[in-house]
Amino acid sequence: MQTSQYPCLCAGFRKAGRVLTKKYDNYLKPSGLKITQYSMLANIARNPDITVSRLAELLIMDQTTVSRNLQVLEKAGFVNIEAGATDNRVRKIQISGNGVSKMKQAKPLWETAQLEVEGLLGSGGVTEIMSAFRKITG
Amino acid sequence: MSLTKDIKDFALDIGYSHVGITTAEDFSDFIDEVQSRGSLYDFYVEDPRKFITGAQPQKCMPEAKSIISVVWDYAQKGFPESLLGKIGRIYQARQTSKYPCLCAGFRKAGRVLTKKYDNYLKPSGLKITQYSMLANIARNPDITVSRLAELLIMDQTTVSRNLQVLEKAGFVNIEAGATDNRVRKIQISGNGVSKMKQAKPLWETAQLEVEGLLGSGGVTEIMSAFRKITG
Repeated sequence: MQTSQYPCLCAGFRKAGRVLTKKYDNYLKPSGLKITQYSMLANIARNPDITVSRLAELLIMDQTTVSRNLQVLEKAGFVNIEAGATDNRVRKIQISGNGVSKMKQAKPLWETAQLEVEGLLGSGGVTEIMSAFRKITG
Repeated sequence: MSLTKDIKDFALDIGYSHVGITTAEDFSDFIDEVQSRGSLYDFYVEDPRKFITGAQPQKCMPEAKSIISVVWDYAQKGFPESLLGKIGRIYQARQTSKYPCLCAGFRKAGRVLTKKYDNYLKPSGLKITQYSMLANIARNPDITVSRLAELLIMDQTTVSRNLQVLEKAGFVNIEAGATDNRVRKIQISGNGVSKMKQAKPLWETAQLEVEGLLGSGGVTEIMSAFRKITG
């Protein structure tokens, strides 16, 4: 039986994710958005008329979590969710005018956090990490 | 020519509009001014880049004797009216990242790996988050709740909640009586040790599969990235 000589990779990714979430949330504070909300809004902005199912696929989250987070964004007036349809496979989402303005405000804050982390990893490190993401998330 | 004059001439030459050299004392007028602006300037005082510490040179550079201070004038080549009053944003927006969000990347990879490890661990009844917690408790006898939270980089409330599940299942003993997380000690139980023995080879299978996916060079790079991020 083979044994691993490394600490748990799953725990490592999760821990790094928690540290980065705190860092990005901190930088985003003036915008009132959390990084999870920013990320969701950015995906919606990039994919007009995206469905709940497809958004869940992109974010690799389950549809229940996506729907719950979407409701918060809808309440804040940042997205419009197609009324009537209840089937997540066809229910379309769009970013609203308010959502676009909010992203404009938040983008430079996100950029500051992102550039700080890129500096921490070094440019070779960032390339390696991006390649690891592709290998893991497929 | 003196070194001072050389430095000043050079700074002006490369485009700064003012330059001065002073001792490495606190810039106390600046700190007072910022603090007098009250809660309006909380965003500046609380900024993770710690601008106030920057105004106390000996705090960040204990050996510094002199400070060269230079002024860059954003408006020297004309100033767009639409940006009046938003000058900080120019500073923040001047550089852009060419990569997708690293935070989202780590979180997504974490979710994919959690599913994979959970799947392999299924026969043991443990989730990878529980396995990870138990492994940390086994490695650190008499660890406190606070210290465990530090190791896992989680808040104490989440750790306490997850510990209760492990205690109910009989895998850990939590010191009775003490309610202060800083002193409350946790130990793995006999049942916990057996459970880990059962789960270890399952974890190993998941781990080796992921190592294979990343390649050995990839794993080394990732481990180094983890160290840089989690410190």
